[in-house]
Parts: sequence; structure tokens; C-alpha cells
Amino acid sequence: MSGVAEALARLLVDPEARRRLSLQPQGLGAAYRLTDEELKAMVDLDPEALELAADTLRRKRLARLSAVYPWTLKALHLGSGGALGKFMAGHPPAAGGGPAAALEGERERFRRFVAGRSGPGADLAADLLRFEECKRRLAMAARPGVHGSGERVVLRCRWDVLSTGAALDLAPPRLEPSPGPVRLLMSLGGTPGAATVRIHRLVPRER
Amino acid sequence: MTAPAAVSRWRSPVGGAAVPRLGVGLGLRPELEPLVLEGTGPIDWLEVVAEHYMGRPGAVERLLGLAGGHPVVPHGIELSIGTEGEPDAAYLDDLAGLVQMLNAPWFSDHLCFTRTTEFDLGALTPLPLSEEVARSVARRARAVQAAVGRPFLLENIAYHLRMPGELTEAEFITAVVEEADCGLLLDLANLLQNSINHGYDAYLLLDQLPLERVVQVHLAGGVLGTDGRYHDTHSEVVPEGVWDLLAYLCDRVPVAGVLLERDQNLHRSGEILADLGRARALVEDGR
Repeated sequence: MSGVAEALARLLVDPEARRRLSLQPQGLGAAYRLTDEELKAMVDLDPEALELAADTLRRKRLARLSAVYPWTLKALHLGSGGALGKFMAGHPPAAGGGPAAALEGERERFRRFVAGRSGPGADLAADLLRFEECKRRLAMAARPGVHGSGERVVLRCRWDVLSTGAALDLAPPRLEPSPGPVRLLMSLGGTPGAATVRIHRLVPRER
Repeated sequence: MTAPAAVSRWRSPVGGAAVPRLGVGLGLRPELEPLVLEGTGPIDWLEVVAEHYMGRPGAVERLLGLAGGHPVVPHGIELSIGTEGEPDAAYLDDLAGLVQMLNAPWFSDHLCFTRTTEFDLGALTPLPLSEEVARSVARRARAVQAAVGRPFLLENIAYHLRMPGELTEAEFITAVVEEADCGLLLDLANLLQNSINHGYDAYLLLDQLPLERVVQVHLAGGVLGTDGRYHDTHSEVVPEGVWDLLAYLCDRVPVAGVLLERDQNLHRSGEILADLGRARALVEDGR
């Protein structure tokens, strides 16, 4: 692929690169070995359209994470001063090993990011993440290779809040706030699993 | 089922025959399965996201049961035909296996890139409109078509960012599909969106494309944002602008497959059935 496409990808995932494009475009040109003509074409890109395209990409990334970690994302979005923005800007979607591996890499980076946070709301997000990751692994173990093809996986749990939930399509939670950790026992297709979760506050997912 | 008549003017270099007429189809989504199973709507064939079924024979068997003998065509989103280097061999093996299991008359993906050596964008991103890129993409498309062994269609994408290059969009698309000798999946909703957002005449662009290579069409409905931009959200009824483009196209060339894409507001089955019915009427008029 031409250096132009490589440079464009950088601009789409890196807000700082977009900011520098108008101030110091030579850096981008050197990094991607652009000719003077190619660099000028990049500088001449419509900045509004570039931001729009970057925002579209950001939303697609969030949608993919939200499909697996909807409650975690909600917790990050509600309580933590731009944590999602920091993740998006600081952890670009690295390539490697094909789309499936890249997606798993994105999830792994997200899990590390959430686990490594501190401050208000960090525990809640980390707990929700562990719970949602447990559910995902359970579902994948029970029905390998089916996810994404339209199969709806229903989890049977001890609490009503999860009785109608599916691994990738959770019903809005209806659990009252609980002060301490609870252990959720689940089974799916005969595969047992468990997660320990501290529920501080739950917000129904918007439809 | 009687064998569908061959309609395309373009004859694929693989398979040795014109592609068959499939009629009006629906992009399968989990929420739309009941509509398919009812069997009462004007649905002649189904299109599925290829990657959801590749390497998953159990899921394919279930899909074939759901399709009930109707043709199923895989539509990829992750091939990234614009990415430099050879197409991923394992991906092509899985894709070829899926096409074979489905006995699909053709398969398709997007004229774009979704990843580079550095980043996996996971989004359909426009390519630089240069002769060099067109040649490079065409070489890969030709290899993909040969590896899978069925006619390969490339789809025009919607884009916010108008890419630089010495070619126009029409010249770029033409250069790729002619050099690759592959077919064209013309997304009329994408064409409408681009024409509105970038201020050009969609019909003029249509006239500049090699329409004899059009095998399939995508229809969809989006929304006009408060920013004045059209967003092809696949959430609404197909707008008049897209129907007009379809009528214009059907007056000029036979189209083997017209497909409705709907990804949101999937509970509005009345709208979906009405769009399918209107598409069928238009296609039959054009015969």
C-alpha cells in the first residue's frame, strides 16, 4: 500500500498526529516516506472530514468493545473523567495476526487498561470487566465458533438480573445496589462458571 | 426451484459463465430470521457476512437450513483488498470453503482498506485514488478471485474523507475492476451519500462506471444529520434518491441481484417488506 494510506491510518487513530499535521507536517512525511506531493495532499485533507472519519472509527471501536463489555463501558463513561477517550487515544488498534487476533488484542489492551486504573469508579469498572469477561469465556466455551453468526446465548444464573441476559446482548440490569461482593454462579450448556462482583451501582443500558 | 436465467453481460474469468439472476434478497441479521422463516416476503436469496461463517461448518449448516434452498451469497468485510502484500492464505482458504459449502454464485467485499502494517482499523477506509494503488488492488483482486474460484465483486464504499490521487472515483473503480476482471457490487446508498456529502452528480458518476460489470446492487436507508450530511445508517426505509438510481440503472443493464441492507430498527418488518416488494417490482420492470 502506498505511504498515503499508511499515513492516513495514523491520522485516523492518533489525535496528536492530526493536531501536528497542520503545524509540523514534515514529521508525518518522514515517518511514512511521503513525497512532497503526497505530503501536500495529506495537508490539504479537509480537517472537518478527517475529524468526522476519525470519530466514526472511534465509535466503531467502542461499539465492538461494548458488544462484549457493555456494563464496563457504561461505568467508565459515567464516572471517570474521560477514561474512554484516554484509552482510545493511548491505545491505537494495532495490527497483527489478522482481524480476529487484532480484535482480541484490542480487548486485551482494554482489559489491561481497566485493571490498571485507580481512583473513583476504578474498582467498579474492574469488577464489571471481570464479570463480563467471565461470561464471554463461558459462552465461547459452551458454543465455540457460533458467536457472531446470530446464535443467541442465554445464561442461567442465580439472580433475576441475569436470567434473561445473553453474552453479547445483555438485557438492562434490574439489580438493586449491593454493598458487598457477591459470587455469581452460572452455567451455560452444562459448562459451569463463576465471577465475583461487587455491585455499587447499575444503570440500565439505553436502547 | 427452476434454474435462474443467466443475465450478467460480464462473464467471469472463473466459472466460465455469466452469473445467474437471483432476484431480490435480504441481508440476513439475527433479528430478521423470523421474517425469512415465515417465507411470505419477497425474498429470493440471502446475503450473509462472510466472516461470521468462515471456518464454522456448524453455523453454515444451520444457515442453509434457514435459507431453505434459497441462494446464499457471502459478503466479506475483512478482506482488506487495499492492504499491501499478498492476501492472507488462511483467510482465503476459509472463504473458499464457505463459498463452496454455500454453492454461492458469487462472493463480494469492499473496495477499501481496513488495516495497514501498523493498524487494524476495523472500518472500511477509502484508498488513495492513484493508478499505482489501482494496479496493486487489481492484482490482489485477481488473485482472490482465482483462489476462491467464483466470481468476485467489489463494492464502492461510503466515505467522509475524499482521498487524494490523480484519478477520479469513477476512474479508480473502473481501473480496478477492469484490470482485475471482476464484477461490481454497486451500493446505491453509498453512492447517494457520497454525492450529497461531497456535492457531485450521482448519475454522472454512474454513467462513468463500467455498468456491464454490475452484478449486484445494495439498497439501504439512512438519515440526514443536523450537520447537513447524509449518514447511511441502514436504519430507515430506502429513500427516493436510491430508488431513482436503481430505476436508472435497471433501464440500462440487467442486475442479477438486488439486496436490501437493514441493520437498525429491525423490528419494523412492514417497512422492510415494503422495500423488498418495491425492489422486486422495479427489477421485474427492468427485465
